[in-house]
Amino acid sequence: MSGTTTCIEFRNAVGAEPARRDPVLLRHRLECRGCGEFARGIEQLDRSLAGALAVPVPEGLAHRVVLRATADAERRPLRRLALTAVAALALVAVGALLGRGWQQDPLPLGAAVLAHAHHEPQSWQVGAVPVASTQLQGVLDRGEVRLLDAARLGPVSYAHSCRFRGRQVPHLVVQSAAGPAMVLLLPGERLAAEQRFAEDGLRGLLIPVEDGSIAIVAAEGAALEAVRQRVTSAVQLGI
Amino acid sequence: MTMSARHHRFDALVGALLPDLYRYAYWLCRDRALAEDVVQETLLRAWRSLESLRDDKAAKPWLITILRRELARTYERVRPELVDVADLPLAEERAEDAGERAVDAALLRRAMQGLEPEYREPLVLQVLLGQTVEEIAAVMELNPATVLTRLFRARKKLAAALDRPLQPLTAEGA
Repeated sequence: MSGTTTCIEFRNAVGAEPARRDPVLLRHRLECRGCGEFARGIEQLDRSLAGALAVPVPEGLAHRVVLRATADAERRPLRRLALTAVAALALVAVGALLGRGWQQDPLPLGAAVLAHAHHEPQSWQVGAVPVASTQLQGVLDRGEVRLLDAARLGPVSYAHSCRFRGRQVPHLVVQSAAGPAMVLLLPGERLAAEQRFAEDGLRGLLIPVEDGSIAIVAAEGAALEAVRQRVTSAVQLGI
Repeated sequence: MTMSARHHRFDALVGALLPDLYRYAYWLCRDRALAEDVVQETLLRAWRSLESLRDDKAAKPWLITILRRELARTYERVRPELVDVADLPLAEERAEDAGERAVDAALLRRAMQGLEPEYREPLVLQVLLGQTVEEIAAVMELNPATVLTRLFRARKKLAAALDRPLQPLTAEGA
């Protein structure tokens, strides 16, 4: 900007760039009362605007970034690359949540279970027809899970062998009076203690058992507890 | 670059920007669920193409560009339903902040909602993301003079919506 400015030039410049610190503009602001008031009005507007633009960031956004990346990893053929993306985004998520940088935390098992639950929404049908016992047995056999008592397990409306964290695992939907629950039987996924988690209206439970763990996800807490009792007494991981 | 170094780099570049990326996406599409989807996809794409970022100082405009492209792709598939943004709470609003500031925020959000996209976006880039006129011009592929004009007009419209019109000595430029 040249050595002097007019009121019109000043207001056009400040109205477009209030933070601009041009010496010519600053001098004009001091010398011209009207333009000084104009600049203060613009600055007040920007302060209000900054507050108005800061809409709340959805709770759990960073966590859902990881879930999305997990689903992406399971879908994409270059799985190793995609899983690396999951790890990187998990770090971003943790960093965003905690407000600090690099973390060594791996992707939580609960997050991966929830991502899988979202991955196959068609399986969540209330009161769906039970699958054939031969199909259920085949899925359990592939996952190296022994069915101790089919009657105790109760109606299973969905049974598939799914790829999960590098293994083929049984993915079941067990029906209960309180609603359906997704069950993942996870040989080799050892836990020190039981874990609970929740996200987007779903509740989850990770139960440590011999040779692995059992994950149960349901919309209703009552379904979670009902299915927990049945599943833990009806199956044994590791044939 | 080792995988660990890649993680370090990505975390340093993206971690602190996540909230503002979401807000930027939100003010472009004015749909919370869509904004979240776009941010998630943006970060996945950013990770996959991290090597294309030559200068870490350019991370913010790089992410903004990825987000804009992702949103354009999304718009080809879906048109969002708009919500009344004036009903959204302020990000860190406290009870004692109620009053004129809250009224201003509600009015401003409505005014922003009604602002044409060509005025709304440069203002969000400047006020929310701290982009310079030159950076905004590069992201939006516009002449810097056009950006300046749009920024001035955007503020003029918002001030009018708050019933505090700016005091132009004449009509502003082009």
